[in-house]
Amino acid sequence: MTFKRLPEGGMIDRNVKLSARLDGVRVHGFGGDTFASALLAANKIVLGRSFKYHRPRGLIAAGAEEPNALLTIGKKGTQIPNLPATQIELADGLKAKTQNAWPSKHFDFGAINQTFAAFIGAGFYYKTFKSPGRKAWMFYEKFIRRAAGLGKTSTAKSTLRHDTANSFCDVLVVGSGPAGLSAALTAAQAGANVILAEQDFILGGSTLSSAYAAQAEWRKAALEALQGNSNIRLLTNATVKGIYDGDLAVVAVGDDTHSIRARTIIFATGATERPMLFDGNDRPGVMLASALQTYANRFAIVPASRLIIATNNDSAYDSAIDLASKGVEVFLVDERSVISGHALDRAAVAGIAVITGSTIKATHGAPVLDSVTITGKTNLTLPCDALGMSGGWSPTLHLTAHQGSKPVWQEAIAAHVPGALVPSHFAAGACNGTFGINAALREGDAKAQAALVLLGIKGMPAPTTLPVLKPDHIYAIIASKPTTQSREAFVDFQGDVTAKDVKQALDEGYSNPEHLKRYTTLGMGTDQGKTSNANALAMVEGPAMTTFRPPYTPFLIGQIAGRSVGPHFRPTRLSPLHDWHRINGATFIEAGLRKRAWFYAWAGATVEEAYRKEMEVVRHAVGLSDVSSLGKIDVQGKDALEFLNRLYVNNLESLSVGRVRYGAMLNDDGLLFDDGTVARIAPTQFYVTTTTANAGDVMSWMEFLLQTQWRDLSVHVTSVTDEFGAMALSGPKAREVLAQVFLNEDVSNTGLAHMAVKQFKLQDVQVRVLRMSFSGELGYELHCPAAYTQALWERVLKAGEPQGIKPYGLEALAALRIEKGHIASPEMDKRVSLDDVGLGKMASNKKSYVGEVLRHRAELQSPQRPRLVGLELMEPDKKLRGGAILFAADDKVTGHGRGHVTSVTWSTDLNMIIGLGFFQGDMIVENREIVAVFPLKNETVRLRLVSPHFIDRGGTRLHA
Amino acid sequence: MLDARSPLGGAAFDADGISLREAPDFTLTLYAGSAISLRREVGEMPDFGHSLQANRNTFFRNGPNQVLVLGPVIETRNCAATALSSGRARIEVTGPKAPVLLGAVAAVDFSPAAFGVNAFAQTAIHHTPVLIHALPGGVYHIYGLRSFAQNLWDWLVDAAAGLR
Repeated sequence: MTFKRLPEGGMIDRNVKLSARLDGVRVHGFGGDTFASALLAANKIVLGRSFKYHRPRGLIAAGAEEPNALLTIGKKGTQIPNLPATQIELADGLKAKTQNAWPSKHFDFGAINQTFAAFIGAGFYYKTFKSPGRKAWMFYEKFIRRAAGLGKTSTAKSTLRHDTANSFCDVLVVGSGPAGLSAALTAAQAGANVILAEQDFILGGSTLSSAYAAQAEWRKAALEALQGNSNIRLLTNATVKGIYDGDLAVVAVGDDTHSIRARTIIFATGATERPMLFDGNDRPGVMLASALQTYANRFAIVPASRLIIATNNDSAYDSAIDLASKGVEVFLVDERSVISGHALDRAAVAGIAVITGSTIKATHGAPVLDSVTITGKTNLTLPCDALGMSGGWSPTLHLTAHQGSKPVWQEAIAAHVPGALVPSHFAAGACNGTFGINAALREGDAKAQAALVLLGIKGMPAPTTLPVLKPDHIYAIIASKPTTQSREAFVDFQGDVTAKDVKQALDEGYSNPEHLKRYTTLGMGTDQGKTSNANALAMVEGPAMTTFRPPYTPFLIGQIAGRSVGPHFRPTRLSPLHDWHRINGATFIEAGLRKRAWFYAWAGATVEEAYRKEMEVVRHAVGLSDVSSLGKIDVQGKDALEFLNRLYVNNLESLSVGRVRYGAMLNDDGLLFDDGTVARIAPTQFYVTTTTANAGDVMSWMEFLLQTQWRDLSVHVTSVTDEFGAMALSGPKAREVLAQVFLNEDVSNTGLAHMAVKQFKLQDVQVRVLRMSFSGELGYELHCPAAYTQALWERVLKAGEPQGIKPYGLEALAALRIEKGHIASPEMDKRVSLDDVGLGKMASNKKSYVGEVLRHRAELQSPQRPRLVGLELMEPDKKLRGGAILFAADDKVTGHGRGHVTSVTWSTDLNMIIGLGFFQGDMIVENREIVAVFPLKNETVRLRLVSPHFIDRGGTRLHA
Repeated sequence: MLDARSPLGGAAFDADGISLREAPDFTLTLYAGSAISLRREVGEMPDFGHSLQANRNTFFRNGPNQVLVLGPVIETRNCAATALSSGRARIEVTGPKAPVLLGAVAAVDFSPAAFGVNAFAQTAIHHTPVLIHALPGGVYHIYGLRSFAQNLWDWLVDAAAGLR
């Protein structure tokens, strides 16, 4: 088998000489070549090995449907596997590797699989790897995974950049063949905003494969008209991967991804030629007839001397005539006995020998094709350079089906065509089963006119006078079902699925196309069955069809991720004090999306060292911590009190202006949702704080209730989480510091009592001071507009120098609240009730509130429910971990235990490790010894059950 | 008065055809109330998606019964007023590629026909809520949450680097 580049012709630019490498071997080509065409011109025929049997494989197609010639380009950070050589534009210096062969594509150890072909047919893995024993699959899995797959991705960090863009248009035209160009011209000239997306790197679609000069001239004129029209954007290397709700087309444009929202879409995606089934139809040198035509007309590459084309339809005659006109000796083997005289006359004029009523029995040659055996009315073996096959055409209707349209069978062309489309979708040309370039031109124009009517775009041009680019011949096809059941006749080249596999699956009852696909892996490769589905479904009883899902062709994960990688993997949220923390030695920790100051360098180099020192400062002097991340909600309106009273379990009726109340709210299923504070700023204005973790959820919950359940209430809620920065001033010397900051204010125990709120002015800036404590010490929270938060923070630190004030971070903040027994997110996992955490008495029995009824259901009142407990580690040399499972001391350690540990810290007051957790309620006895088990580390430690309030149970410090 | 700090510290970025800079120092207030109260005490309620300039204020109707007002605070008796000036960062985008940059980061049609002067959109950039406002002279203002300001800025600068 030999191919050659003709000395002239084609659409390549011979002045641009390019050099690339395949497996280290240099490959020359010209501008306009694909990697595939350059390889074919260089007589590189074997381009890889097949998936399962490791059979030598070469090019079959010239476009996106190519199943065999998959290459890996680039390396390390730029490596991309499984790219069809037919879709890679040749570039100078490009390096590619063949896949699925070791040590080389010419000698591949994997080919030993062919010896076991009889044992690894359809569904073999379902049958083979389920025995012996239940754990068989566990054993086999690693071997199967190692053997499976085609190309390999690199483990190196990708260095490719993938940008994203959003575009909008009146008309999106997919495909730039005759129908697409015609539609785009009509729509753009009428004033519509048009985007034309073409997956090839040049525009023209099937006209690029034609030998007719009139087509080339029309394409040139059409492109000039489009390029001069400001209403249209022409996108090349642009593959529409999927169509989603709202006519959103996701398009890979080069390395980038465009989201195109179109008011109408015209699909002009052409058709794909079908292979034929016979023994050895996968042998390198056997190609689609239309591909041979493309390589001849577009790339000036032809078989060296003799070509045989097998067909069951008329279109192959065009391919044969084009090849014959370039000096190739062509034999046409037509399965049909009755053929139109016109087709035969055209073949005769071109000097083509037509063998009717016959087909291909087998191919020969190792590893590449050298001869073909013909069977039927004529039986003979002919040597040849290439074999073309044309089993008819399947409209490329994938995208038309992404929104649920079901393709319908059209007997005349023995193919499925788009079914009823959504009103804003149109199909034109071969995609719609309209074969013939003139018919495609006219249908493209007609569908564009229809789209314009739908869009209400006036000023349409007079009916376009479309040229006749070449005669449209009758397309006749014999729609026979494949009869072969051979193990050598391949239905799916990429998945190595043979006619025998399909027959076997059907015999075993997998007659539904979806079952058939999954059982045999048919159509499940990177080509998604573009060349295989039609032939396989033809073997199923009745006109069957599969389901088309995005993406149309493989999509790089990087293109889906876009720029959401590395530091942009997810949004980052910063405190208004972030810069201060950074400059002043804070180590940060991620808390949800937020970066929070974890601990400070003044206290130590490690968190273990630092947080203990920071705790000491708060317990014995005064500390300042950034609590800006707390959720903050401004609640206003004449019904604001009624609203909050319905939401919180507490009775807020008695909350007077200037007072703060700690409160809790439940989900409507009666479980604890969030805790926080409610400060009454004015008769109709409240300032609500929530936990950091639930800030967004609480805001959404409030809006939901107001907009759906309590629309009669006049209440307005606004998140002011970002508007206010906040800091917690805590410690026995906190009041002294506060007094130094607000020199003219009364911050005494009477002037600013526990759970009071006041608005102080500091140099014209309003500061909201709430006396309350998370640490258990005398404490205040200072809230002020975020723009001034850093200035206030610095002012407080300066004022507190004589008292030894220091900043403390999140770790110390959490440790202090554990000592005090305050619950936080680890204890509020949406599974606990108010009573579980010991707050049942806080709930009012004089009013209703969200979750009230279900809170009292029997399951939530069971004495066996785990309740909040304090835990003391009895073995100081061991480690207590959050998440550890709790058991009674004499329990058998198995199952889910009687509770779990939620929070652990070192206690500066008790000089020991303590924790909070939940333990079975009816077994809680103060000082009872229990055990905590951490199976992941195989650790068991002894604990003592104590009150969750480790310090200051009487609240002396709080009220100091 | 205490020193005020803008969320981005006056950041600026220039590239081919695109300029970004923080535009701090603005007064932004959200007013909510009945339509009658808002009209009587705050001003005319503009259509959704189009800002209205009146006196020294710019009005953005961003909900059925609420309006965001840029400019001096308006005293009201029957409407809820919530200051948001500190909670927002404002980034100004200018240059011939400004609509392209915005199109790269937000799913909004920024063509002049669809997003002319005074148009505004409440949308998202990199998962965070923003309000984008078109001003005369090809100037766009992006209002984002203060806590996400640095993230928003970094995302825009990164997207600008990807413009071709």
